[in-house]
Amino acid sequence: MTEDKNRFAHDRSPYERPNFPFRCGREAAFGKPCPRGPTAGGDCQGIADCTPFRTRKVVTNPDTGEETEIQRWECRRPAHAGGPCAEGPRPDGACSCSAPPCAPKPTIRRQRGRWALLAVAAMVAMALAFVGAAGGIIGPQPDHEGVLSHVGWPSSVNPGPLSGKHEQFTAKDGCVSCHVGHSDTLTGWAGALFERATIADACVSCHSFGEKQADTDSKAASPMAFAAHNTKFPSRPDAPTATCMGCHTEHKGVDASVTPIVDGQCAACHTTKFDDFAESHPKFGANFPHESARTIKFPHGKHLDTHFADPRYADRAPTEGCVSCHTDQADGRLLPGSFENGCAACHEQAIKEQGMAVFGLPELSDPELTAEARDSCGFPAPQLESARATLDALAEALPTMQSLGETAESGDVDGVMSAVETLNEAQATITEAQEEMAEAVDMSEAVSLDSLSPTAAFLLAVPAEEVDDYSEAAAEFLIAAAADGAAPLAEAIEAKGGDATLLLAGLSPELVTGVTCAWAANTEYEPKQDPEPGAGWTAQETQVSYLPTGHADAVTKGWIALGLANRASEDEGADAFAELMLSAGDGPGRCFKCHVAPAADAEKQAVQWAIPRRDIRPFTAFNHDPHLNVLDQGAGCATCHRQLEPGATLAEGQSRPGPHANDFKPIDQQTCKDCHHPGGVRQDCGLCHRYHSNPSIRKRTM
Amino acid sequence: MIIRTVNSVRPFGYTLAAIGAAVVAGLAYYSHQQHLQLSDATFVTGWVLLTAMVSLALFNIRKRLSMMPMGRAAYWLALHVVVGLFAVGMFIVHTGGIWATGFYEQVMAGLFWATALSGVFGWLYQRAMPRRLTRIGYEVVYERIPAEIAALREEAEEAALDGVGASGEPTLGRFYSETMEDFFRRPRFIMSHLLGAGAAQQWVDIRFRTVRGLIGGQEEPALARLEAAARRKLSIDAHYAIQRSLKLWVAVHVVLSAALLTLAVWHLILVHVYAR
Amino acid sequence: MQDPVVAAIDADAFPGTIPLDGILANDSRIIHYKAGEIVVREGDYGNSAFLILSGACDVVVNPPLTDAQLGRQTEAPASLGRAIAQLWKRTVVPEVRDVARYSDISVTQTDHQAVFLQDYGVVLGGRSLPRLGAQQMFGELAALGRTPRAASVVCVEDAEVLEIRWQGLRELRRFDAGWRRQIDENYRANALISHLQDTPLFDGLSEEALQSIADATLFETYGSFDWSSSFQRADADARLSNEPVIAREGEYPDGLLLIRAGFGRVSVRQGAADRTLTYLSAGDHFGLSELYAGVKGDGSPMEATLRAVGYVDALRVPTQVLEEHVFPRMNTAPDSFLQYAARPLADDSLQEWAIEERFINGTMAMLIDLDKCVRCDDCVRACASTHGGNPRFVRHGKINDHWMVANACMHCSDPVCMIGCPTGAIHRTQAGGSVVINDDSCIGCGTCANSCPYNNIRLVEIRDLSGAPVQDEATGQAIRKATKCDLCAGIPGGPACERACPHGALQRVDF
Repeated sequence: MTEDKNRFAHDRSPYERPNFPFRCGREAAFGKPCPRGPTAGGDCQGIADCTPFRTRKVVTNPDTGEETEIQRWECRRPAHAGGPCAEGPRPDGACSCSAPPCAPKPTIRRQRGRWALLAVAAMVAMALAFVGAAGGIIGPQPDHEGVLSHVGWPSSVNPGPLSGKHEQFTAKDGCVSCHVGHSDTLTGWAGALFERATIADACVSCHSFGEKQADTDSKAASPMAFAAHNTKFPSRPDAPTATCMGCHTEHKGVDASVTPIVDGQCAACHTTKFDDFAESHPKFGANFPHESARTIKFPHGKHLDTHFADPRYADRAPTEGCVSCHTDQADGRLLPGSFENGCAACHEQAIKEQGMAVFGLPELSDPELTAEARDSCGFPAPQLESARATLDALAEALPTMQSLGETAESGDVDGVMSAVETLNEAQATITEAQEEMAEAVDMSEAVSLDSLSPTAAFLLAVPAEEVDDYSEAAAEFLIAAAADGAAPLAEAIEAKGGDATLLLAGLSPELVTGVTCAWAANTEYEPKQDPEPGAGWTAQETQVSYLPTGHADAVTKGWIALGLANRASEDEGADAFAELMLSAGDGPGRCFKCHVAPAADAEKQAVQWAIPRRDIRPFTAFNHDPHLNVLDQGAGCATCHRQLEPGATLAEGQSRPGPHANDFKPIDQQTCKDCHHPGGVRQDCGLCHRYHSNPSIRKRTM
Repeated sequence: MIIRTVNSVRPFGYTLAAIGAAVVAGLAYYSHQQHLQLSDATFVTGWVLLTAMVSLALFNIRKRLSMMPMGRAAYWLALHVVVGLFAVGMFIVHTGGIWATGFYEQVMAGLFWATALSGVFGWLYQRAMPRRLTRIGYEVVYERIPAEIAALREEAEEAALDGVGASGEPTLGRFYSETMEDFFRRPRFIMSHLLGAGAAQQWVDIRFRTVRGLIGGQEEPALARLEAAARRKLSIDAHYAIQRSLKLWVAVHVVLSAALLTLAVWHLILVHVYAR
Repeated sequence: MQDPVVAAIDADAFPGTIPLDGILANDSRIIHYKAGEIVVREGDYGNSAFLILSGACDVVVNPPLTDAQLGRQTEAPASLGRAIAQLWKRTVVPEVRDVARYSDISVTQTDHQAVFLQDYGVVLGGRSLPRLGAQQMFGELAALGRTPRAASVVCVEDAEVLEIRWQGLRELRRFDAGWRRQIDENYRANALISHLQDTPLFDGLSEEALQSIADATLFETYGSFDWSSSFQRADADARLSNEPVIAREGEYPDGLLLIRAGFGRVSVRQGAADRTLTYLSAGDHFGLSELYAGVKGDGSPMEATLRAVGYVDALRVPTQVLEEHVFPRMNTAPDSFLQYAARPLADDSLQEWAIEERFINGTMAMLIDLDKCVRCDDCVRACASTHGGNPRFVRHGKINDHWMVANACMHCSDPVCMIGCPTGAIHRTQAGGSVVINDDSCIGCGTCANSCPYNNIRLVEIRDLSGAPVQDEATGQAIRKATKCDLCAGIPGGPACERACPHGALQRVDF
């Protein structure tokens, strides 16, 4: 049968209609399909092969003439299904070729449509089901103890986990923390579709970049106008506007970088564009990295080659190379550690011994002025003792003298003789006392200095060397000092713009009065004990001095500041005073043996005492750590930091700015290129350079 | 006589592919430049990708509206293939990678790749399988297969009965009921036919060779009829396996793309709500 | 028999095997037409000629009857609206028809299927048309030459007409000199000159030269007019040897053969068999190169054999006329069919197949490249959605190598389906030449479906708008309609099947 070539002829086979959505159920089970097939709606039509037709025929009986109607059922099975069947219809008109109904099966195409609808519905359901608790399911979930964790339902809104830096941050407010468009209601959501919010606003509500507080609150047109290093450089109108999202990405996973910056992005603004550090990075400065003026003069060569070579100090030589002293990590740099841990071993004592004479007691042109001072002081102690001895002697003799008349009348010779003897003794005592007193106030041998100290001269604004010129002012000052102690000194300091409280900290008025009166009495002040190094305020003989209590003594720094403040002053004595404060001779100026005084013409007259911990290159950062394991064997730090050979000098421009030359050679760019080149270690901009100059978190966020 | 092939769509396809590649390259460059300019082009590339995906789906609409003068479907298929490959390029440009991080985006990326890969597979499959069907040497409309199998079963049964009747020996009847009845029940050896392996042919060969040794001359014509039916059944089974696989492939592709487009619309809404 | 024309036939001239009585009894009948009835329709294919015995008929020309008047589907220009309308016409129920329309059809059951020209008096009134009276014959050229009817003929009064089938007509012409003369003269007078003018070989000849060619031309027919019925039964392997030979290889030609209708097979002897080189269809000629060689040099025998594939209507132009009018104008030797013989033998397959299966007849055959076809049936669905949800072909058919000719109407150049349609429902469109069926006038008799040698016409049981099957009330038989591919008439863009194939596997080709 299947070999019959004509079995699909038009009158022998059903008309194939592959566009119909259902197929016969019997056929789906690989049985013989019924000729009618299912309806388009999927109902079986194949219970019977055909619907038999009833024919009526009127037959006349030739004998009786009686007419009878004969009804017959005729098969109406179509030709393509085989034509009329052999059995024919049943007597009741039912088709004899009947079968139980089948359950028509949809075609693959029809099923495909159903599956597609199902898939669409599943996606919509998934999206809506997992957005239902959007606020709760985005980001980490607080568990029952309030601890955030990543366990939770997946979200149909969240495009990815937040970075570790921000993941905790949405715990309280959820998406709204950044996305103002986020809403729990459908209407809010729909509204947000057409609004343009700026996520950057949310960024800067926590992050600040060194801008003044007022700037953020006034909300400049671009929130980034203050945010970054483009404000440090001349702005170019053609430079692209930067927003946070330009460089920062989020929702890329807990471990993902939020700053996946590429070099090309730097080139968006930078006019010097290059893509290869090794090839085209602009040349380092000729004196790189010694680009800032020194703040401490530490001659590495002299210490290492001379001092520590000296057997006397050899025991103090660094034992661990550079890092013996360079222990302080700041911004990836290795700074020297503190004075105490390094320099103090040798230099502490000298500092404490380095006294500063504030004022001495001068000789005055007119002795009367001294007498005036003496009046303020009263008797000096030795004279008082002599006087007291005279008075004691007189008091002792007085009863004798009072009873002398009676004795004389009585004529008691013994009594008279005894009285005369007593009086003679008293006479001797008084004479002795008078002699002693006269000796004590011997003015012929003056106990005073022949000039004013530079400090005093500056404070009193008089010439230090001319007795005639300074006498009057000095006397006035001394008379006042004798009366009021340190007050006149404080007054003079305030008059020069100094902070008397700081500059005279620890000075007792008694010390001043004592010294002044001793001088007025033309005696030498004798302290109760000899001043120790680092004792602070002391007086010795005719001088009031200050012995620094140690390194970084605040009083000394205060006096130096006063000296700096008056460096350019036209006042009488200012030069000498400043000289005393700043020159590396005696006195406070001694500090500048190591510290660097500001240049005379420097704008800011202040001493940079400490080594600045912040790099002066705010957008460049060098981190020593990763370099330590690539140092040359034996050379150590000298792999890059090469000391100048003794006697060698650097070429012009290769050393630090300022008067204090560097004792290391500059580091050549080639040194970096040895490792940082294509195929070598990273050499992207972000490795060494920073965009934000002073990033911080706002206090109000905390 | 040479039958010429009407208007090959290849020049059209190649032109389109060149344009598509140029657009992808252009947008990739644009996207990169925007990134370097501290801006970003994901909205542009996203809309282009969505447009591409919707126009891919239009291929299905075109099939439904074939009474409309909408150009030859062959051009549409070329367009579909090229735009499909274009969409893969755009996807990479748009996402900057091939995978996503978030849950729903991973589902979407998974659907995209499943759709794209099923598309590429289908493209190649549709080029390979027609030849296999032709080489079967017998052609049958998919919808007629069940009826054909039923007719073959009838024929085989009849042949077996004739064999028994002609010889009085039960051999063929036993053979039919034990072995062949199940073979004729429904399509068999689907995987073998799909992979083009010869398992089915070998199965039939061995069984008929074995039984041929057990019959006499009177049964021979009946066995020959039975074998002819079995061989025809092999052809029909192969048609069933391959034609069905071709139809199921489209179903998988269509269902995946429906799901993908749904999520793409969801994604579109989300990015406009949550965009910067 | 009493008709003078019939009576004039010399019965003795007929051989004993084909007696005149037999011819008249078997191949003719007398039909009574009523006034207003259409006897033949312009453009129809018919297999019979008509001899008016009494009454009168008008030949309707200038202007001819419209399609509507002839009961044909009116040809509508392709429009987008029609395409869009299909969106709503698609139903889930197969073959739905608006049955109410059919009530207008003027088909009544008499001794023949009668179709009336509505209000013929008004339509034809006042027009002076060529009137045919008793003893006048018409339709014989179309019947013998298998060409479309040149004009419609409408009876203006009740008429008695003798219809002679083409077989009888051919015998009459063969054996009766009077009939032959009459028919040939009619042909020579009415159609031959214009036919010769359309032949490229005679381009540029003067009217006198054409007239002299026409005068000398002989008419010949070969093969069987209704080859289609015998074709379906015949064994393919024996067909070539059964085909009547028109000119034989090795014999000497006596004239140029012009094919007027039908197909001829050109073959040469190849070893023990005949090898087909090519085929000829209307307008082609055979024997020119041999005649030319014969005139220029020695007599040249025929290089190839020409056989009639099914049926051939040929004109034979004698050599002398060619020598006189044609050869002097030729500078180079005409192409020989032997050029095709250089082709590798094994490459004949496709052509051999196309001729064997008579696909050469098709002008719009549906050819599917099975190596590209994924069997998705998009073509079938496209067809269905263009035809109210009903596909108009089956994606199944004869296969050679990887080519399949599917069961879709080929729109034959020799449309045998049209022969015998009682209502003229199946007809060729005037504009496009495609073969279409007017659903309104189709009576579901199945003649066309049975005639189609390719199985491309399907009869469907129709349903009314409610989806219920439509039955003849008297017999309970389902009302059927013949359906087939109409090349998406009225839909812009051409056949939807070809457009819908995503793989370019399906094409409509003219063999």
